Amino acid sequence: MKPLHANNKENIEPLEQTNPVPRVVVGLVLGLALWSAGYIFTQRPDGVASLGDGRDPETLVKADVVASKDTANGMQLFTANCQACHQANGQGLSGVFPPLAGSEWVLGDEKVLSQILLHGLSGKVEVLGKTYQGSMPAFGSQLSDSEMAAVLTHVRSQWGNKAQPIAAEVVATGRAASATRSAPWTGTDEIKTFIDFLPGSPAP
Amino acid sequence: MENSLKLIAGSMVTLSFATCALVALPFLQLKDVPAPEALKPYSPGQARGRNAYIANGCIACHTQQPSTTGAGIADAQRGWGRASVAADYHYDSPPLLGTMRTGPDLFNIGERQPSEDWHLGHLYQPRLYVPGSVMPGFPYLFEIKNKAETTKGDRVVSLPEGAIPDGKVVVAGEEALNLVAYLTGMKHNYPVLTPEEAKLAALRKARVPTND
Amino acid sequence: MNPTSLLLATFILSIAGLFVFIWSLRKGLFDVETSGSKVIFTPDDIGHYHDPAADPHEIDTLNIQTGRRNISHSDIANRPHDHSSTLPCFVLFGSAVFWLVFASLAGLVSSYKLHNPDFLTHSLALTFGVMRTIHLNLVAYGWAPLGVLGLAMWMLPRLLRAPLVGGRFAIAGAVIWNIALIAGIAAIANGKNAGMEWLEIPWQVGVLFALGGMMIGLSMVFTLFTHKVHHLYVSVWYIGAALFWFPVLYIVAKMPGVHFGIEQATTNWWFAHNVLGLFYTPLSIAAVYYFLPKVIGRPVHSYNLSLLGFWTLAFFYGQVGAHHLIGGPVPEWLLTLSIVQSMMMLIPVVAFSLNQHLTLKGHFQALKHSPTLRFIVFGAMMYTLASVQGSFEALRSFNAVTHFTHFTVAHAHLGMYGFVSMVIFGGIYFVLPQILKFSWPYPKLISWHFWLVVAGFSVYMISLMTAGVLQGLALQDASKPFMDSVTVTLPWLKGRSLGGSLMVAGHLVFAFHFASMVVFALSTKPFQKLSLTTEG
Repeated sequence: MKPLHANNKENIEPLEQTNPVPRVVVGLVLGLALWSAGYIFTQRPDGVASLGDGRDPETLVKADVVASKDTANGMQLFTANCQACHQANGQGLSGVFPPLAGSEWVLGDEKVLSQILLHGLSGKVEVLGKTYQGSMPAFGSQLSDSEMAAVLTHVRSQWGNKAQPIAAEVVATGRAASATRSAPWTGTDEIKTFIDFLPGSPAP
Repeated sequence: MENSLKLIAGSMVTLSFATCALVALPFLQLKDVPAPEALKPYSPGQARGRNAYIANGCIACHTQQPSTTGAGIADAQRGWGRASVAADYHYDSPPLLGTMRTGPDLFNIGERQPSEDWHLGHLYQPRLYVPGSVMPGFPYLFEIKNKAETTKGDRVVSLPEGAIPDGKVVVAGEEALNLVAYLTGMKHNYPVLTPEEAKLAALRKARVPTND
Repeated sequence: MNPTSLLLATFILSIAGLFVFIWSLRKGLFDVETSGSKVIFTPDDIGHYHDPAADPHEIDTLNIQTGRRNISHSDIANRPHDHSSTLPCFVLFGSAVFWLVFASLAGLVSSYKLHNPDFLTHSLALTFGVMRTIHLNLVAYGWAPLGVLGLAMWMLPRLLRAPLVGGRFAIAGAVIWNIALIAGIAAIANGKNAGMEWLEIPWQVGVLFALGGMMIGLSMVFTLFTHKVHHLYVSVWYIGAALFWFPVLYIVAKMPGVHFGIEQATTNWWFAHNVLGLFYTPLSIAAVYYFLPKVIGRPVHSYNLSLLGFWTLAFFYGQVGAHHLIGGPVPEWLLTLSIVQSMMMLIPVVAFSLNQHLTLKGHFQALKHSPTLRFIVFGAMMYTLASVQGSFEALRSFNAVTHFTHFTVAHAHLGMYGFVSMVIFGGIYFVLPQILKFSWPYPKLISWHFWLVVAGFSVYMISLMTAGVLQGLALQDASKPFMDSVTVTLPWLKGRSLGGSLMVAGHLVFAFHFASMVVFALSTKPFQKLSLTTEG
């Protein structure tokens, strides 16, 4: 707590000597310039500017979100599209999202199950004795028949579920039959009625 | 150096090089890129939701750029969508590319998570839906009401059992609904090239002389 | 011509032009003997150790031990123009320290929220995304610019031997700048956010920044053009250029209604990287070039290295910004260019570091006794580290892991904290005693400040870089669920909060010391007297 040291003798303001640039720095400059020219040459950044960095034009043609359509992987599709609500253990979230493990809808009629996935479901649905006020979104527009078949087969074989695989043809038939529908099903009864009146179904 | 004018002039020249490369040339190269046909402009609600996305600083943790680098390659394998292109951001001013993936990329979140219920509940309290999530809840976008007091227009959020006391409900505010409209509208799965265009672009990349 | 040939040709031509230009400004580049340089330095120019922040007895003892004469340069003759910058500098430093406290608290809260997400969630202003933005803007528009501008404003009159022109305008400018910052933070806290990183403050408030900044900057620019010295010292180059670079960056980036789509993203990173590279960095380098030789009383090792460092920084730094968008929807040639120029940045960094090292060589013992030197040298070392790290981070192989992770945040702190903030600390420790004509009241607190922030910063960096690498590796593995990339970082994010707390504690010590010094100085010497010295 005192005024600045009375004997505050400063150095003069800084100056520069004129030593040459060390050889190692000259070498670094040359080396980096060469490396850079080589890098540009080998990278060949000739891609179309509006497509972005390192884009493979092939991947920009396909319309699907999932990388490999041909080898639809049920588990991967489940993780990407279903897990957030129905959870990794298939138990859902009590009171909001119904469980898939042991669910009568998952293990039951494959036609009804495909319709739920194709168009979604809003309204009441009863699962394992509990009623859910559902608003399951439709996946018909973003998943192909084989992808739907793969993910449905996956959920029918997990968490103790043991039901027959679902073939892509079943989904395709369901999609064709309900092609005019744009709104979600308003309840499971509506799906059942719809399926019962499909041509080829046994009369109710 | 003795001359201050030379100093300033020289430094402005170096900056102009940078400005050409990062501002002027991208401007010229991209200004005429049309919007993809399949990409729809934002609805008024979605546009307000986009503002909410900005206002709440979502960009601090989420990117909107499926990329072709490390994590981006894995994301594509996870089924989170093709790499984005300049035209995808046609209606975005500014584009919300982001640089952090503390949370997942959201460019196709509407594709892989179309459920409005999920989004609303997840915004209210993320840990009810994703155990271990470090995303904050946004309770100020919602209103807690007595069950009896809800009116017809209220969007009641269905939450897992035990999330709130009996007799109470969580009602989504307008901003929350807009934000969810924006998020569920984030779908960029349409093709951006026809097979012919892709072939041309690939040829160009491979340095094969083309006619253009 | 395809993009590759165009890019290659432009690169080679511009580099050749750059080096011819540097060549034209060199001096005695061929003199392998340094004897030529000695002619212009009288033996008296080789000074003694001096630091107004140091314990005078310690420094005297060191001078005697090392056999250096305590040469009595007539200090008044040496710095006749100090009084012209006294009050503007004081206002700039005072506001910088004020914002530092709030900036670091906002940073700490954000850090804590990342591992305790349910902490303070009941309003928009307190949510993570907003809090983090406030932290960034308080540093980027509060602490850092006001601190480095204060140092620049104090150095300029001394280096140019000319009084500061229009000190009163500079003070008014600083006031406007502070008002703009308050308005900008209030806007962000109320959800009025422009949406681009580092440019979140709405352009309507940006006009105020432009006005205030111009008043501060023009005062220095006019001083620059009235210089009375024949040779401009290297610090002046950096200050002069930065004063012109920043307004161009800010005004072009904020221009409403011009930018669109992805071009806006490249402009965003052109700005955000250059505000560090062409504003905070050059002003901090200017401070290192000033204070390091000043404290040890030695001339800088090589003018030619300074020259090489300055012009290569000026040229390469501006073009590296796009490396923030590697793999993104931006033109491929632009990313290749940014990657190349990021590597070329090694040239100015090595030139600067080598120049400082060769100047300091043989004088490392002064680090023990001079607080200013300790902060400045630590800062200079972190600059080297941050820049080398940044160059390699731009390489695609390295970037594939670190991109989109906490590593980027760690890297930003290595630059903005390890380098810029430490240099401002060191500079303020040197300058404030000269401004207030008063010694630091509690020298022990300077040591506390230094060791708290160095310890905190080390914990911070190690934790966050580890978190970033682990997160990056988890993100790269498509077989792992996304949540793995979150859980793996949690212990390290807690470590970051711990390091951050120590840094905040250091800042509180610093702010307390700063405030008590002001109180003591003003109670001995009334404010009236201090402000009168701006006349002239």
